[in-house]
Amino acid sequence: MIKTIWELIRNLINKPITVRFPKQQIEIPEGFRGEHKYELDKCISCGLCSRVCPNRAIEMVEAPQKHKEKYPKKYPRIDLGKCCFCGFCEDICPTDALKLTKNVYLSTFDIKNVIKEPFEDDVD
Amino acid sequence: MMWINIALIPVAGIVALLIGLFYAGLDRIIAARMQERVGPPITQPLLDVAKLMIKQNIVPEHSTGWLFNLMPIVCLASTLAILFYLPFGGYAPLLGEHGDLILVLYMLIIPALAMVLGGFSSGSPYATVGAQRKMVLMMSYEFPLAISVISIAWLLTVSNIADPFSLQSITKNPVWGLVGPLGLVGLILQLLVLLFVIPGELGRIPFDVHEATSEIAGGLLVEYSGRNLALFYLADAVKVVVFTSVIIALFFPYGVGLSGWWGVLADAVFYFVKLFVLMFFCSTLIRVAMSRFKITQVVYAYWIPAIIVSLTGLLLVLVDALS
Amino acid sequence: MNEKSPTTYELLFGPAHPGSGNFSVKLRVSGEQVVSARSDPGYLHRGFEKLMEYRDRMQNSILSDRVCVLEALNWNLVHAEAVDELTGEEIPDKARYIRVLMAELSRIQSHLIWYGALSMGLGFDTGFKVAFGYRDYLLDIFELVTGGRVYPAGYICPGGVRRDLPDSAKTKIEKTLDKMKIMLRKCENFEKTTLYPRTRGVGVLERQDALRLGATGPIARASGLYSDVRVDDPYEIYSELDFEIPTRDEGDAYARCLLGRLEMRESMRIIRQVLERMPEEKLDPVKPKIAHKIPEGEVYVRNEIARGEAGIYMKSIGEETPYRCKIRGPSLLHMIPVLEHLLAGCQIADVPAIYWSLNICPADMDR
Repeated sequence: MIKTIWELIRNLINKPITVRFPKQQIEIPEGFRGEHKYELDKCISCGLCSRVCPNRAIEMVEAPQKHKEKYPKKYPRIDLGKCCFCGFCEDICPTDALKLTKNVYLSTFDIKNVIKEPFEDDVD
Repeated sequence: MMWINIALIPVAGIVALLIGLFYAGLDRIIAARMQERVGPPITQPLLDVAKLMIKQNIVPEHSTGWLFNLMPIVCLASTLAILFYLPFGGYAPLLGEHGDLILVLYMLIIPALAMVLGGFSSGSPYATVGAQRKMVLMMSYEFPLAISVISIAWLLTVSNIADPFSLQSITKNPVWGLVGPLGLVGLILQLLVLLFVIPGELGRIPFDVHEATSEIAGGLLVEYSGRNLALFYLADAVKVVVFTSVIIALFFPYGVGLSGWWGVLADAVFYFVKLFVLMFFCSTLIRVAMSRFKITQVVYAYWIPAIIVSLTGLLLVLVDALS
Repeated sequence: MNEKSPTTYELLFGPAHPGSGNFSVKLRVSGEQVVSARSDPGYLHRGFEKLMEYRDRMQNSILSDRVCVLEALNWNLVHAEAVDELTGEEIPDKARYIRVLMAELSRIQSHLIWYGALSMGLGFDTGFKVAFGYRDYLLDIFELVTGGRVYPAGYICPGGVRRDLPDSAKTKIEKTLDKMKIMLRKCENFEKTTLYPRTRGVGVLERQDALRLGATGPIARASGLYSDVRVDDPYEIYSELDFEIPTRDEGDAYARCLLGRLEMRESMRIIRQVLERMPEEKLDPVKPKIAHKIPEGEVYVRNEIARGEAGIYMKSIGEETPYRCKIRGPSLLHMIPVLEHLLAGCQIADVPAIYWSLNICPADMDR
């Protein structure tokens, strides 16, 4: 009993392990697998990301009409709801067009935010 | 005078609720710190109650509806009612001279009984097991509690104090002044037994066999939700105030001794400090330091060591007073 | 008291119960006494064995995380070894060291969950919260090395590992091992008031019963059986390392809980040795490939994971995907025959103590 209480008093004095989350945060290290960052101009439309994706979260879609001339091929549309953040698309991409970032704040109330379109200004 | 007291009743009830909830918040923060966590903000119990109040109140199909809905109200009302028979600091009880120590002892059983009835009426096997366990728990802690309280009242009787069972005369004549050295040891033993009864009476770990989240899924309260659960939660908060008030009235009835409004304020703060210190050692510290007892271990703990200690205390007080 | 007696009633321990996982035990109870118990699995069945037949080797290593969430890296290792044995690929030396390092870290992490869950089952909140708090230090390492806190996403994959060890990892792991020492000291100091009175003599699994019912890992070792795949059938670099296999003879819940702590100590010893001997050279990380065939053949590999013996049987007919994959989780035998055997005749209050002292994971049983 005395040992237990001694340990508890020590805990009481020490700094707690947890932090008060929205105000304080624990730093996320480099190399974390978070939200995707997609650079359209680097993409060569090889479609490897869509083939390697274990959850089939990446679908190759055609560009909307107004961009059709500049971007004639198919480009990846990422469904974050299906994504398991394994990072295979990042590993396999030959031109580093797809990268995973450290952003983990992905919860949303709007289902449209879950799907990452290759052409962002298109969503209206 | 009587009318003022009656007007003060709702005020006292609300103040007791707030003190109870404030203590609950403090308890959660300190317990969290002992578990190396930051813990919730101090207003968390208040927010919990507010949220429970607006949640849906589900009454199970197989329950006895009226009993199920009545018992939370009975539990809170009876707990609040005890409050009005207890003196605070140097002030007389709100309901005056109508009740004494024996009444308070009996009324302490009613909230627990209300919980048992609510558990039985909810028609779930978990709640039934919990209700059976709560009855066993009550039977276990009532005996040492009764011995301790009665030995103090008896001490007052032999000291020729008028009206020995009234709480007011106990607070006016602190028990420590009535005994010699042997009786002092006896009184300390009685105090220890009462402190040991607190976690059982309040149903805190290690004596929370009737709720036992990981065994019987919340036991008595398993089917309660929404407003009914909030009432039980409030009753629990008030019970802390009530039970510590009984112990403070019996053993530490001292005030700061100032007069006027500042005196009232100082008494109130001093009272809360006493309540907090008592509860820290009897509930918060024990709650984080121990695992839940089995029901057999609970009965053993209250019937063998607690009764031996309290009977020894009674004997010492007897010897001291009669010699 | 027979099962159909009118004085008994049925009490469900799970699946919607704060003290159980995604698993249910149907208890036949008379008063406070459990007359008989029946396990009711299947609430977490995700069909990995079938899913694996439609995915290639790298995608399968992602799936193998999910077999048991609580020790994803160990399951990664089992799967990676099965494929490696089929392909006969040469694994770089450093990758072998990293694999063992991560597997042992994962074992400590899993044992902390074990301690935490057992404490929670006994109503000892502090143990639960402290254990999970200290587990977060280990998750910080996983986050740094693999890029995910809980799911390493196939970090240990067929052919090696997916990333080299970062430079800062070594000092960080050493710091965390010191933290784990503090955690073990806390566990020992909490012992007498919390776990000891509730678990001593509860749920005794005799040696012959452990053999008969097929207990493995820490459960078997707490009953006096000296069996550990790391020694009996060494894989990776375990044969080069110096470590002991602790055993206890009592076979009760307390012995199992104590054994978990002894194993954590041994794992810490292994990690220190691995860090010392870790080769300095740079490691080529394994990248996923498309159309990567697995040679024909069939194989069964077994590993010692935190809960016991884990195995994967894999048959390939020369396609990208395995033809058949069978997963043997250690919890399967612990949760059905052993649990039913131990629960019969105990008290209701002992049910969580026995249940959590078996270090079970419904996920790897239902697969």
